[in-house]
Amino acid sequence: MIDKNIKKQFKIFQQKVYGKPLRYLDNAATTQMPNDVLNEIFEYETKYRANVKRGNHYLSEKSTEIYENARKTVADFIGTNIPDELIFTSGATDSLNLIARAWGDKNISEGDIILVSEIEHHSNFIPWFELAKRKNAKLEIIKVDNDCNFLLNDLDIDFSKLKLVAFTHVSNVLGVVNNVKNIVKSIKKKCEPFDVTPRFVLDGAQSVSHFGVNVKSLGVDFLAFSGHKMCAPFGIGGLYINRDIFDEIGEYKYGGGMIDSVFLDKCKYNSKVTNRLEAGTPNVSGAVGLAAACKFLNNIGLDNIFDHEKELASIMMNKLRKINETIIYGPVDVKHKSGLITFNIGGIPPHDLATILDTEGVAIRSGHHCVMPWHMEQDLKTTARASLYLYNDEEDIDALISGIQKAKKIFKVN
Amino acid sequence: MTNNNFYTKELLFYFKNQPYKKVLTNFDYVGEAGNDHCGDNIKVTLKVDKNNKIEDIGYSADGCAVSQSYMSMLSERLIGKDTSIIDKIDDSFVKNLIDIELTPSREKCATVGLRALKNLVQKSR
Ligand SMILES: Cc1ncc(COP(=O)(O)O)c(C=O)c1O
Repeated sequence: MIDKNIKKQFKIFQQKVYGKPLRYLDNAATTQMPNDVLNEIFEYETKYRANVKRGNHYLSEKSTEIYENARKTVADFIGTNIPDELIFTSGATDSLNLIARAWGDKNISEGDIILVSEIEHHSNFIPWFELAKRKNAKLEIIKVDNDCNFLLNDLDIDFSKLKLVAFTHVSNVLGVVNNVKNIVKSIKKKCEPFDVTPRFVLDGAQSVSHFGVNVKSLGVDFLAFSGHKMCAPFGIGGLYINRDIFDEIGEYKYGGGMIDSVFLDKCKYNSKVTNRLEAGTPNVSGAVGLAAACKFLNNIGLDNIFDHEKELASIMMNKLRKINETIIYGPVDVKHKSGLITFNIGGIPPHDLATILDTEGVAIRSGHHCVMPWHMEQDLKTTARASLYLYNDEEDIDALISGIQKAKKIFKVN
Repeated sequence: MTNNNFYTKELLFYFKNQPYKKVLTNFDYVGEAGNDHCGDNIKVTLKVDKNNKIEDIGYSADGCAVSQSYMSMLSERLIGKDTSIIDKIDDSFVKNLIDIELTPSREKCATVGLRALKNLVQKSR
């Protein structure tokens, strides 16, 4: 159970918008930060702020220690006890681009196959699209059915050439939680006869903050995620890289902190992956905030968060479906879903629905949610999306529903 | 400040009545514009007479009520005019088509249609 007063721990919920309580249902885009996280960042910035790994004065050493402790906490949060497997990045997009450069440029060659699903966020599509283009490799697509099941048996590709598979843990459009283990297993099986083992990239942007993710049990080589989607600040995120493939990792960005030695005619890069991949001064306060968020979420309990979202999602689904004009995308059964529902109300363009809901203090998202290829395949331009998090309650859902009724009145639907 | 007072009767009238939201099989000019942010996309075609007067307009639109209704209003104004008028029309002309106050983000929706018209090219024969 989550404390009924949890919203009190988030200063942002004290305010009103247009004179109404804030009903924040856009958590798949960005989550809010609790006071605990803000306080830890404030404490770091006012007591320990200094560059890391560079100075040998008190603050710098303190700051370095705090930064590396944050790495431990975040690594632990996603299920690895090896802190070096966790690279701090600026977010999921940065993490995925990092893989495409540091791993992709080194390991993908002409004719190789990169496999992605058709329901990927643009951030887990374009880096592979561009990598394939750079290397004259082939980008192949896994089709999904209406319930977001990956149609792996329809794949007609040369598995002997498969080098990389990238897909999302939870779809940010359909909210479906993919069975990662099974997907990895069945692709590996198809590759077995050719004695090849592709690398697996999991986009965890919509998963790690909503239920306990143990990366070691999933069988993937990379896991990317964003801090701002898990109660942490903007501009910080993480990338897990399986230690077993460290020797396949090249460089991403070049600059200070990632080198062993630099001469005018040659550069040698640091062999430690966390150093090599984190060029430049890192976002230390971001890392502090991300670690604080992990502690905050652990204290509430990821299982509690999951149960809470599921219960609310089921209520939201039932109430939405009672409205005749509602079209739900993806499975109606919330069993395999996270707390995210994508829908349309017939006769009201989603963008207008979002505008009218906004005047009721209800924040939802409308558009293609950065998943244009899927929307195109469905012959859909745009959809509305309401997404829940640990601090939402039934009143938020009721405000959503009465906002929809208001929009129906304005648009004279039914 | 609330920002939905622009869903007026008038705006919704233009949204629900769009005589030019139709397919022209025979047209001389075609143009398209979109607003990636909200997913609005308008494709417009024009049929002109031998003096370059606009005889008919057909557009497809699948975005929000704002973009569609402003395209509808614009079409109404353009029928019978010389195509050169399109060069003279600007965003403020569009915003003043009806008396409502749009938020900056929704002004982008209102002007998608105009941008489609500005992108008009002669149909290749
Ligand atoms: C599934 C998924 N992947 C990747 C991203 C990109 O995250 P960010 O914009 O934080 O880099 C998002 C964000 O919307 C997402 O939902």
